[in-house]
Amino acid sequence: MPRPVCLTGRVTSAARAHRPLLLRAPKVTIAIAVVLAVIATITLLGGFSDVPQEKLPVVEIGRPYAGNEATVTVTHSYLSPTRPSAPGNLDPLPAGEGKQFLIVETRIENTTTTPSYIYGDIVRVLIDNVLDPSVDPDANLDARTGSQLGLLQPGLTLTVDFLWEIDQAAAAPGDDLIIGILDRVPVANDPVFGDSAFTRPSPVARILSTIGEAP
Amino acid sequence: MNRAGRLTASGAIIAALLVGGAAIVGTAPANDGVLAPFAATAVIGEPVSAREFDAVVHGVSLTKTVNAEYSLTSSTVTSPGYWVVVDLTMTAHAEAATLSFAQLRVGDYSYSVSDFAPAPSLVGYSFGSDVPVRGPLVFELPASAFESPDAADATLVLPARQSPVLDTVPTIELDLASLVDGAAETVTIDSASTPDAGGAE
Repeated sequence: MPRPVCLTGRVTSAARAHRPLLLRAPKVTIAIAVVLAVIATITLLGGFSDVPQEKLPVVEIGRPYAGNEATVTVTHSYLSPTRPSAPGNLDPLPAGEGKQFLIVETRIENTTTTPSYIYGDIVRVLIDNVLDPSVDPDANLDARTGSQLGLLQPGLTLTVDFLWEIDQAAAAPGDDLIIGILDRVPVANDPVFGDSAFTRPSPVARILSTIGEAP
Repeated sequence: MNRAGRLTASGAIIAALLVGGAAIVGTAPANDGVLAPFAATAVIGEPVSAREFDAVVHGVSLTKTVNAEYSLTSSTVTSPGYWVVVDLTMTAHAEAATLSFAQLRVGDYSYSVSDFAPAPSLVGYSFGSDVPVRGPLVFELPASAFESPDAADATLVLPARQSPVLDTVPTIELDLASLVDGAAETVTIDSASTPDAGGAE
């Protein structure tokens, strides 16, 4: 059947009715259809969650991990009803009623040229439904004194105990414990801090372990 | 002057101004230099004066273990490196004076004063104006710091604040390398006190 043609150049309603369906649809509808098609294709290919992710390297207990500002070696983890204390010091402080401490022992060396508090951001832990890596330790103790460690001097390697107070029933020796090692990266030409700025610490390695027995 | 001559002269003036401007920018001191503190240098035994306090270092010793018996919670701490114990008298000109920002510098490395010494120590001491206070400043350094060739030219710097912009900073020259052979196994430190009150002499 011949298409109706308007000699004036205008598209008549009769001509519009004879255009293909795709051309007759409003542009918004076409755009939505395209987006839905893309999403459907991605879903058919496995979905967004299957985008390849790089797994963090796994470090063994007792093996050092060298970051940008410090080298850390996680040596042990255990539960204790009291804070670690240096020999000869006063009685160690007990945990609150119904609580206990998860203690992660580390050896940390400041590998920069200036004193630093970076060790405080280096270790975080994950125990399912008990502790997640967003929880800062309650204390970072110098194992020699049982006191909060101040600035860690460059080139010096010290034993640092990280501790978190948790419910007594929340964890027991042998439970799974993932210890995350965090690091930060220097930022050059920061508009405020120049070359002395750093990114926020982020996980760079993990230790798949279980909570050990108290020493 | 014809048109070509005027253009040539203008170009020469612009070029001369650009070269002159570049020379001024190139030779101007950097911000760090403009704002840098003034080092007031001295050696052991020599008094040094700054805007907020005077100081004199009487001596320096090296030890593996430092002991603070004067505290109720007696502290004895052994270092994997060395403790550097600086015997110092400070006379503050203002009550806000502090030694919390004291540093030992060995080459490119800097080491902050330790908070190991229990109160009353020179770190965190409430100084009275023009009242001399004598006591130890304790630093913890790794053994590698003493193997550096810069250890013979170490400096003790005593800034009054974290960023001592345009301020006088007492700077005492120390030869740390020479102390290693005579390092003590243990040094017992005293609390900070006024010399007349029976402090370290």
